[in-house]
Amino acid sequence: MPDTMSGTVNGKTRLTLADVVPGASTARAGKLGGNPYLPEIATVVQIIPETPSIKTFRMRFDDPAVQEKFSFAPGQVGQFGVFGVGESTFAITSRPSEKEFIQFSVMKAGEITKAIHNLSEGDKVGIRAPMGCGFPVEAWKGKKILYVMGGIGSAALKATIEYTLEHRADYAGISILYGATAPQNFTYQYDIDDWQKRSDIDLTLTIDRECDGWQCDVGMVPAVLERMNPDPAETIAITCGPPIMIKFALMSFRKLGFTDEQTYTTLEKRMKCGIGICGRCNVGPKYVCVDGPVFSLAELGELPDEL
Amino acid sequence: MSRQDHIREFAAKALADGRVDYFIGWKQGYNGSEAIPAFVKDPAAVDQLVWTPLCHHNLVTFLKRNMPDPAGAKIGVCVKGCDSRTLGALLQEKLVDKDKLYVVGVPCDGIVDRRKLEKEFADEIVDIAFPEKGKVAVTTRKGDRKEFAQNDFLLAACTRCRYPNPVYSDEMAGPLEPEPERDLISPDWSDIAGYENLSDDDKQALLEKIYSTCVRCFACINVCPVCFCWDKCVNRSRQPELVSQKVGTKENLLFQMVHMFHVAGRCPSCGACDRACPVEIPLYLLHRKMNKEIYDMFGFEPGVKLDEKPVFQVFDLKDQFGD
Amino acid sequence: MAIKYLKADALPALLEALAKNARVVAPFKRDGVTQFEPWQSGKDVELDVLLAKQSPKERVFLQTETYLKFGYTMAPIEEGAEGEAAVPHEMVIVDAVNEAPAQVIFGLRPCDARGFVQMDQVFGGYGGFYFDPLYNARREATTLLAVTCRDPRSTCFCTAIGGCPAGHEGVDALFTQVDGGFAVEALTPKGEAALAAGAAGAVLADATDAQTGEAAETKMAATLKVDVPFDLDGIRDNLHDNIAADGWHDLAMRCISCGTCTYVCPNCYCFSINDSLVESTGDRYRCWDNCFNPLYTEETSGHNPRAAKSNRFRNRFGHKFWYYPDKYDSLLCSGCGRCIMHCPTRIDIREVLRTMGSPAGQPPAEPVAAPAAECGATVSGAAPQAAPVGAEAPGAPRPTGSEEGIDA
Repeated sequence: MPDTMSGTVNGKTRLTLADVVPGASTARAGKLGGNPYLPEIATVVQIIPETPSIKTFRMRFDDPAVQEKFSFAPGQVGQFGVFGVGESTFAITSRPSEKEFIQFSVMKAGEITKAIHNLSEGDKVGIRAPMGCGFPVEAWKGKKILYVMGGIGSAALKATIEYTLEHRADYAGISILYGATAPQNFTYQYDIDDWQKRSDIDLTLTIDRECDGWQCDVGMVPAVLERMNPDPAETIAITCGPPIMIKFALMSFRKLGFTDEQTYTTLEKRMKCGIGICGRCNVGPKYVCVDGPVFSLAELGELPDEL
Repeated sequence: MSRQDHIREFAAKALADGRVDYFIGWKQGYNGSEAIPAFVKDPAAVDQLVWTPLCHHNLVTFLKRNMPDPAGAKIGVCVKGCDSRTLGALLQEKLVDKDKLYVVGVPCDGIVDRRKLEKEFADEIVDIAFPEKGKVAVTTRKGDRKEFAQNDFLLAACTRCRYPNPVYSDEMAGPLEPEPERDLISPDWSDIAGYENLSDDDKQALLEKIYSTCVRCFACINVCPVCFCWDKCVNRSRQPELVSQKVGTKENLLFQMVHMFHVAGRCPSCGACDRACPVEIPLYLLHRKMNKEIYDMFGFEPGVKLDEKPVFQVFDLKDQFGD
Repeated sequence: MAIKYLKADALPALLEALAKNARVVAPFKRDGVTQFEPWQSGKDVELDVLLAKQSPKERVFLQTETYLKFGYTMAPIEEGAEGEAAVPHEMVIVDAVNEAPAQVIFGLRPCDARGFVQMDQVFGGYGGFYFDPLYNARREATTLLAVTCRDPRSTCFCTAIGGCPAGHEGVDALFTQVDGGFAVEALTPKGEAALAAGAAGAVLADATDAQTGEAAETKMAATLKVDVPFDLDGIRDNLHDNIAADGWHDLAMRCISCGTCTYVCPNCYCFSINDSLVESTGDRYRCWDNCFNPLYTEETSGHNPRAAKSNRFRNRFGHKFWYYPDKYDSLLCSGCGRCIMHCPTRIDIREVLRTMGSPAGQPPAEPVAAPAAECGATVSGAAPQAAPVGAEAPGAPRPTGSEEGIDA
């Protein structure tokens, strides 16, 4: 991402403002232009209740030019918020190919998510997106992708799952293991129906405990993962979910022979600016908002134990 | 045997016996003009502990929630008279575990006000020594040396100290200081008489002016031993936000009032807040005023008797509330 | 530009001339406390005190900065509208706010100016990150007129990290006190413009050889007075290797986890963003925050990656001497020593770096050699000379071979 690892810019090691921002009083376009703190105003066009605590929000930008130009890489996030309460970081959960709206899935947990859950269709919100690094889906072409997720972790992986499903031929295989505490706690049930109808992917759904009428697997995600016994050869493993699930899933991956380089996760941190400036979301020298939120286990191994 | 020797002896023994995991005292700071809190784990290292009129830090703050490291450690701590009252206040409310403490009381005849000394020099002070009792010798970076009478440069809190001897301790570092006759002599509130005589509007203007330079660094809040709520503090809360994080005159005033009222009844005016403030706000003033009100209404001096209930945790029909 | 000379009693006239088109800020002593405040005619600038209590960073990086104002209202309905168009809809009006009055900061020290340069990289989009228009508008509108330190304190260590009591980084014009006045050097076009504006009120004569020589001697003498408490060489690698060391607990024991060090520092820049709303109007503002705040990293779930004080303590020093140099091209410290002076328990950054910045967390037994007697700036205006001991670049040498900046 940043091209400054050589340690010099224009042959100089010590910079002034003029070096950093050429032509520093004129307006700039692109990433170095505009006001990255200024949200785009969008209107809520659809709210889908997913589970008792999770809702999916679909928004259209009020400015049609912004809506038309908007695009994002799978795994990227955005700052989504209510003016007067604040913004929070959420994974963009729409399909990258979706042009009509931008989608976030929000679990009600604190003040900001409470205000978001109180939104109705037609309300105005602020969005700053896309941000962060997505999953390296280009580099993964030809490999098998194994998604292991639990609870709201599905939101972090949703866009990437849909992207790889849309480009199924580029990948040697796609497996999805999705666990929830109970049948009513799966998000994206409408999309899961479509996944279940496909014959070219491996889908395993599991709940924590036996339940009447449930016809899929039973067991905690890491246990079911080990039962599945996936072959690590040429496979990328991605996991997201509650911290305890991630911890045990990563242990299971290691047990199954996955290397740190082929295992990925997304990190969550308290964030404010989302653009790598305010200094809050760092784990060691990495900012989750611009260097992440996607990290391989190998990258995480280099960082202080402050996850 | 000097008080310093007593402290070292108590510390060495407590560490060697395993009575404490670490011992908190004072040691020399980055040069000879400062004393700072010292944390000693090794009985062989107790020689770093000192006792001089520079030892102004109230070490009880390191017993607060989330401060002991590791949590649940057995801790030895030195306390002066004023410090011991803050410990007394915490013990009254059972906010620290007495069984985990080993308290060395240090009778004190006054701490030197470094800021007052600084104002006597244009150059940086690099050493403050006490060549004989009652004398302070200050040396500057350029090598100038000047002597002062210690009594002229005591902390404001020390000039009207009513408790020179710790009210609670397991050991005493040497003989007691003469006790003032507290029952006969009322507390001296003359330092706030000027403030009290102001009109309400003038008081408001003065307080706004004083607190306008506050940068909300939380030094006063964190250094105060009885400001106990730590991460649950009203001033810090963001979910929900109760005190705005904006820095401005009105916001700062609210911030300081919240702190002041929340420590009322526990604060003995030790002055640690005053000394911690990086922009030298006279925080001491309002805490003194608050303590005078409490004394006048309830005859209560915080943290003095361990078995006494804190003033705001009791209701007594005999309480007077003024006219 | 040639070196000029300004008589001491002409300084007020210079500031008065500058004040015609800009807000002038300088250090003033009030009730014994020296702070940067707006200059007013008749007030004497305080230059005998080496450092104002706080750095002047708050003049560019405001402690509280409202950058959005918004109001909720109902969208107007067009006359004769029918159906969906006749149903009232909410709208929100959002205005970006960015006020950047022209200002001149006089009387800051080279370490203060260097702090701005270090913050410039963060806010300036360096490295392909985002460009912060709020900070930069103010920064571009600000001229920095620094005054050489004549008497560094025992807590100063600017030369240890590539700075100097007469350093040029970030300085638009440098004033050095000499007999009867100041030797004045413009170092940037902004500095030249400021001196030209100032010359409308105060005479700036060409400096004599004696005055030029005296300035050079003053700078040299000041540089020699600054102690060098640690060697920069390898600090970053050692901080990385010592990341899990117990020594962090020991060093942090007397830390009370406030925010004093970050708020008085010329280059600590971490901030928070909050919204406020009263009925239907409100604003979004950013304000200084500090990584020692126990709630700094607390997530809504209650999980707090830096719940332990020693982790927060480690983070600040890591940020300044490892994380920041990884992304930008210097250290995030200018050696002013304010953190040491103002910390309520006098935590000493030099002690921390000597310990955790050394192999195995052991401070070196030998004192660090004093730097060669070279000043970071020369009076004649020639290119700055190499920084003193241990550093070829402003930051510690990078480990080679890894794109990510840290070797395994």
